[in-house]
Amino acid sequence: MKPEITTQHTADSRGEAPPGKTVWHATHVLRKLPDEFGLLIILIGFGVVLSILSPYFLTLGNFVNVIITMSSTGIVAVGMTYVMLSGGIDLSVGSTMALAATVAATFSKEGVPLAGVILIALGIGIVIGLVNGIAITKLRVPPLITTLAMLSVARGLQLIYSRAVTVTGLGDDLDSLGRASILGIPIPIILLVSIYAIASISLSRTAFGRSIYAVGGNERAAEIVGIQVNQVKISVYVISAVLAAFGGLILVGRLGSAPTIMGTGLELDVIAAVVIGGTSLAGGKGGVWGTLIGVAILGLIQNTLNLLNVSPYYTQLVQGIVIFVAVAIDMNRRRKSV
Amino acid sequence: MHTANVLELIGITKRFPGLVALDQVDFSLLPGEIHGLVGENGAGKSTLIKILNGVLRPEGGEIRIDGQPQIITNPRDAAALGMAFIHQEPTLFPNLSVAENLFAGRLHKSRWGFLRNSEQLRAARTLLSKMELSVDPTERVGNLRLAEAQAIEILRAVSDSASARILIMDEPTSSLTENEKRLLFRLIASLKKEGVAIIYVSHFLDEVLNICDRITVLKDGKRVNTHTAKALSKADLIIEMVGHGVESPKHMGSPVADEVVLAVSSLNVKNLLHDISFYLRRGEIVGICGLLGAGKTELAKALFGLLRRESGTIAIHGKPVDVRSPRDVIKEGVGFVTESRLTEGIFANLSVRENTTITLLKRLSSRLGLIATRTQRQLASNAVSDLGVRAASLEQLIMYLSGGNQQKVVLGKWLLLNSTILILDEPTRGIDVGAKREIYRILQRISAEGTSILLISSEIDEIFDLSDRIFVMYDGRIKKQFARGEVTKNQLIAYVTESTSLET
Ligand SMILES: Nc1ncnc2c1ncn2[C@@H]1O[C@H](COP(=O)(O)OP(=O)(O)OP(=O)(O)O)[C@@H](O)[C@H]1O
Ligand SMILES: [Mg+2]
Repeated sequence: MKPEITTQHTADSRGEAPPGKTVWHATHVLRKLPDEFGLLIILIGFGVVLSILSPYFLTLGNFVNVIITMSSTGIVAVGMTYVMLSGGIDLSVGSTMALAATVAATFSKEGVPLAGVILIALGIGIVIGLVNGIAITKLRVPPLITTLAMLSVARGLQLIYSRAVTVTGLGDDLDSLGRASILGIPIPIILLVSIYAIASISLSRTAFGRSIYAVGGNERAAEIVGIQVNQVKISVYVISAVLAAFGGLILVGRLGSAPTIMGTGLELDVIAAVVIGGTSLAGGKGGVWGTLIGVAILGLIQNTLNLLNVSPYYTQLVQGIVIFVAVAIDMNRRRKSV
Repeated sequence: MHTANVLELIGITKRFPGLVALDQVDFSLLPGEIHGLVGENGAGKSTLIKILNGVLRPEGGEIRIDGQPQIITNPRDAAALGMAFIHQEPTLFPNLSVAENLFAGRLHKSRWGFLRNSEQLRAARTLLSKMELSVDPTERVGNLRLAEAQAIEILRAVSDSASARILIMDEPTSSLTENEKRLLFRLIASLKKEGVAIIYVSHFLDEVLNICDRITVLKDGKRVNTHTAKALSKADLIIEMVGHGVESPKHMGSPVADEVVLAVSSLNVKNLLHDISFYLRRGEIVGICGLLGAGKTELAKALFGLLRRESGTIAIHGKPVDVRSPRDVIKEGVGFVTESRLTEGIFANLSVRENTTITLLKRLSSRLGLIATRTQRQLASNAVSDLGVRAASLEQLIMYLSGGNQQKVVLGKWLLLNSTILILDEPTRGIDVGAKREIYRILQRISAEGTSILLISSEIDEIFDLSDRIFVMYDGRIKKQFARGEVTKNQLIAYVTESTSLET
């Protein structure tokens, strides 16, 4: 459509809000800040409390440590963000991670080079993601059920494949994926940051990314404007599974082995991180930077409880309370700003 | 003038980030009065109503009911004060039945809390008959047509107003056809006789002038004036609303080429459409009218791949197309403005910019896949000023726009696509007089430039003024076809409303 100002009132009185009517409040400025801002404050407040509790907390070594520890969870959470933005959920990430990483680890043990090992893991991720996505779109099985089934199936396959034995003695190159550094920066951190950057751009600046928001926000309307809804949905499950597999590789590299229980319960941590990060369970709202903060909050809790030598029995309890409080604070803040 | 007001608003002020939606608005309502509330899209009408309903809190001002100052913090307060509401967008539960919706919050229960189903169904049927609705009370509301849902919303409020003394209607007729409108006015008249006071918001000014006692005009959040309806002409009312006169559209009889761009033959959809055959030529506007349930929207949906065809062929630009999904037709240059903007039109969580350009995502992407944001913003800003969308900024989420402004965006996103064939289902629903003229002008312009339009509307004026040919649908069939000039407006209204005369 050509810009055509047909009548006067189109031009002067009906375009934007009339300038004379604009009211600038301090609160207005605050509202202009990204949604993640409130979360960031929660995170920083959290950090302050922790640094008082434990002097070791504020050291560079501890920081790097925290980030490395949370890198694989963080990467899996990116995939979960995609899925949840589209209005779905993926409960199978923990099992997918375990299956892909276990298989990849055995190949690495047999001397297959890193590139091959990565391809194998990602290949497994793609297959699992496709199965999830196709079951959800073509067979119309709800995501919760589909991925719950996949959680069980993938875990079962992993146990059968590994005979419930931890895979040890990996190739050096897989090891280095979790432990080496480039220019002094640990590889997991580099990977984590790059994946978040790419995801952020893909979600906010590409047609694919915006289509995910459209599908999650109003699937019917998305179909009517010609967005390939099924294709978008299948893609997000593939992305989720692939990132779960990749997160698994990093975890295995870091641990130097592929324990059979790896990834158990991971889906809950990851979903918690995404929700803390402000991505709506209903879809269509949120983003990866919020997720990163959510992951950081979870990582900090675990780190502090470690530093303070709190019994691991309490970790779950504290984590549950913190998730609840963080989300409650954030929800209220958002509601007020409407 | 000394009858006590049932409702009085004094100096109501409401701000949203970046704008004053209501600025010191006074309003009063007498028992048994029908008080019209009019103004352009975004003038603040719905905001005022949401304040009465307790959904929004005013920053200043006072609400008095029967002379007593009241603070309304939620819809339950409003109900307790004797107010019943019909909202601009139906607020029904799509997953519940018609009967459950009609009596939501006051279901027929036994002493033990069990539902009295048969009693409730009977009550529902009585209520439905008031608007001659032929819907099954056990049907899920999600399966209803938009007009039916709107009628249910009306009936729910009306039955509620057995106890309510104030009935507040926000554009109740926006998707109704002639028949339901007539019945609604009858209902309103009988409520008035019982002393119920009514606030009536509408963009159909003839309606407002006809049924209201007084009319209050809002502009940019300010009350301009309150008139006695009898002493007011439509032209004066428009000038007060818009700030200047708006002339009626003149159909220039745009040149229609012989080239057929859309040919439909023997289209059947189970239970809904029977043996539909017609063609649409390049640059032609074909108007489709008919009563509720005639199959207008169903025809649009079938053409757009949203309803399964049982049989029949569709040829677009001379090429047979196996239409299975919207994509199949969009590829051939067809656009579709849907009737229900909330469920099928807007992406509530996305900005005005993104909503306007959502049909162009692929086209706006560079080879790397990145969206050219600057072009996108430019296109959106052109469309927004072209259609007179009132938004705080392009980045405002569309859910914060007024109903009519959302509708303009929904229309705009298809205009931007430069479709060669546009299917418009109630394209001006909820749009104010001035903006409507603007949209008619745009439609006439693109049709003169060669775009073909299938215009579905429950507004006979719109159909009559814009169409080169007019179809009257009844019971899933095209019963009558007229070329421009073959019927008068009154004849057309008669054909539509006295549908029995179509049965031959
Ligand atoms: N929650 C909100 N946040 C920000 N702005 C809002 C919100 N709700 C309404 N507005 C703005 O307030 C103004 C008045 O809106 P309102 O819905 O009352 O208009 P209206 O007179 O009902 O228009 P219409 O005829 O289109 O329904 C509009 O400019 C709208 O964008
Ligand atoms: Mg409104």
